[in-house]
Amino acid sequence: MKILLVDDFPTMRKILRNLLKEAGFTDIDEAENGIMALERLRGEAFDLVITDWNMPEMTGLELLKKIREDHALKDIPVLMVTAEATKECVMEAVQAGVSNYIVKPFTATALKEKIDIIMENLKS
Amino acid sequence: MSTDGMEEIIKEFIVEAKELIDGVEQNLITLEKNPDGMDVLNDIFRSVHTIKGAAGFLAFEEVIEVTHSAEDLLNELRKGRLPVTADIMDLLLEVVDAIKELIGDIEKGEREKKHNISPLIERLRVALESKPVEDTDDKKSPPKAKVKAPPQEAREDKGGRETEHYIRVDIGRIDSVMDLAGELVLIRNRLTNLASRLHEQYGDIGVVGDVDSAISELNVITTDLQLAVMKMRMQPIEKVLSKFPRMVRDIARQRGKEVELIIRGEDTELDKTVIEEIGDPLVHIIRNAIDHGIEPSDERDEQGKPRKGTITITACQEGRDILISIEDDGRGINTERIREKAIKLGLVSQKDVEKMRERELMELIFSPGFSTAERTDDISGRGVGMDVVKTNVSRINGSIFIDSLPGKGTKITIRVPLTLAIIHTLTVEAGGELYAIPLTIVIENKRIEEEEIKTVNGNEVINLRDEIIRVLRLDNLIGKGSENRCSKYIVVVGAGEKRLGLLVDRLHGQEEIVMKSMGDYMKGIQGVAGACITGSGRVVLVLDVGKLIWGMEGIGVNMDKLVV
Repeated sequence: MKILLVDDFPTMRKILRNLLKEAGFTDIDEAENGIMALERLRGEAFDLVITDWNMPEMTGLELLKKIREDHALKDIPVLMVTAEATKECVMEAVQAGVSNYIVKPFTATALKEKIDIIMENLKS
Repeated sequence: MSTDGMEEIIKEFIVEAKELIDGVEQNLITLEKNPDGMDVLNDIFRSVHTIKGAAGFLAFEEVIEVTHSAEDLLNELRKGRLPVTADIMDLLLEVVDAIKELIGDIEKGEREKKHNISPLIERLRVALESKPVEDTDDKKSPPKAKVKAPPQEAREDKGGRETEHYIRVDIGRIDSVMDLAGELVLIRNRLTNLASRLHEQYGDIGVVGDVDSAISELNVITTDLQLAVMKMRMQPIEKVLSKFPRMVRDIARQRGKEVELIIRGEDTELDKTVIEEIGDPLVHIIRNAIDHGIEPSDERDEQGKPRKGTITITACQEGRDILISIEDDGRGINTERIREKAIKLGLVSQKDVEKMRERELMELIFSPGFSTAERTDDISGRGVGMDVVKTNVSRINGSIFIDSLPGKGTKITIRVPLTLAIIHTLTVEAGGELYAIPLTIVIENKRIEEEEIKTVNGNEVINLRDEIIRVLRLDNLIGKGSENRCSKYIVVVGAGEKRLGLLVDRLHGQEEIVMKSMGDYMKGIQGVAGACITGSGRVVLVLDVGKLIWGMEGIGVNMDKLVV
């Protein structure tokens, strides 16, 4: 399974990569902002996008919307990472078509659970 | 999370969080000047948020707590529910300091160290609840994003490139490449030397010519290599200057003065060592400018000056030097007060002071123990000011000049070399020893006869175009006897307004040298900065002329004011 990690903060990308490794995922690519993420997504096929919400220029939510608007990308599952989990935020993301939602900080097990749920839903 | 790679991540977190927090600090200053800068505020919020997010994974509880509380306050500012006041700015800047300290302790491996952050958290909470009553009125006009702040743009731009084209390299590795390049220079010099001897013996035949061309190629490559490594050590002066807006703001606020800081040429690059050494002198000069230079607003009003004082820091490159000037539009230096003070302190006699020119009077500021400020406090006026500045600057082979117009302001210019690694020197011989004198401080060379040296008040001097210059016999420096020659050379060197004539037997020429320090057991030698090896394999002592001049100062303060 090929995963694209999107976060503007290099440390966070490292942390996420480590957690994913621990959860058994090794095929990971990174992008440091939404624009580069879209470029990577258009360049090759990914099975999952994990993006931070809070990023400069293009937020995770905007990236999510762009993905859903794009005919070729719209079916890629997106997992949103955020530090804020207010009801409004979750609603906004769900309406924009987020596949699931995880609140920082989290463990590798929690991350794996979320990814498993996304993949289950995809099959059904 | 697995522990492998954890240390690595923490290290990266420290570096990157520091960068973010530095950005926050700069942005806060920008925000204070321009409270409507919505983009800046958003950027600050995002950075704090990012730090909080990552700290969460690394379980840095105190960092999380502080960032979390700060985030709440920033959010209120962002939504226009709280105004950006100076008090709130103070508080947010304290948050920056607290985060810096917390991260600093994590870096030092003192993760467990407990900090008393609850007072800060409490004050953030109070500020959050101190929403103005006219809250609802304010909502009509939430702050608009009017200005796209340049610092933010610059930072984002950099952030974009950094991960792509930049790698972090341990400075020790660069230094060892630098050392190797230095050794290479020595061998090149040696080869050049050997080649010229080959020439002398065999003339320009066959293989000798080939050796020549190979050496000249080696010559070009070593020079390029040295330059390339030198560039690796170069950093923009912005690294030092970026902390000044905050400092100026804090001091000015503490002093109840209004000061605007303008920085120009922050991209100017110079050697890392120079960057590290230049910080303290600059801090001192700027503090002086705010404290003694810039007048209180009311006083400025009376004189028809703008209420807000201006300090301008300019950095630029000039040949192999970097010029940094700090200019204020304050009250200027009162030479009359310097005169009184100098006499009172016994630095000069009444008689001497009358003969001194304005510029020379100003130079007295650099004398140890000199300070014209009447009151003593934690900022300046402790009498340990400008002489330390001068010492620091001369330690990096720099020089410093003062220009001042009473009532108009003061301009202090510091001249420092681009790099300390390669020194351009004049090599001279005295008493059979070779010495190298940094070219930056050589003013002129002149052939003189022994009879021209006169003794005045027990000091040897020469008269050079009506200027009396004290003479130092270089052959006495390390206690070797001198050659008996009637005609010698005098090398006039200067630091600031001070002049000193070094008496030598021969001039050897200019040479680029890579200086090595003397090693601990020989560090104490007065006037010797280090040593290097020449092409012919001889050891040359590199003179620390600043020390020589100031060392002589101890003997008689106004050494260049002797009258024949």
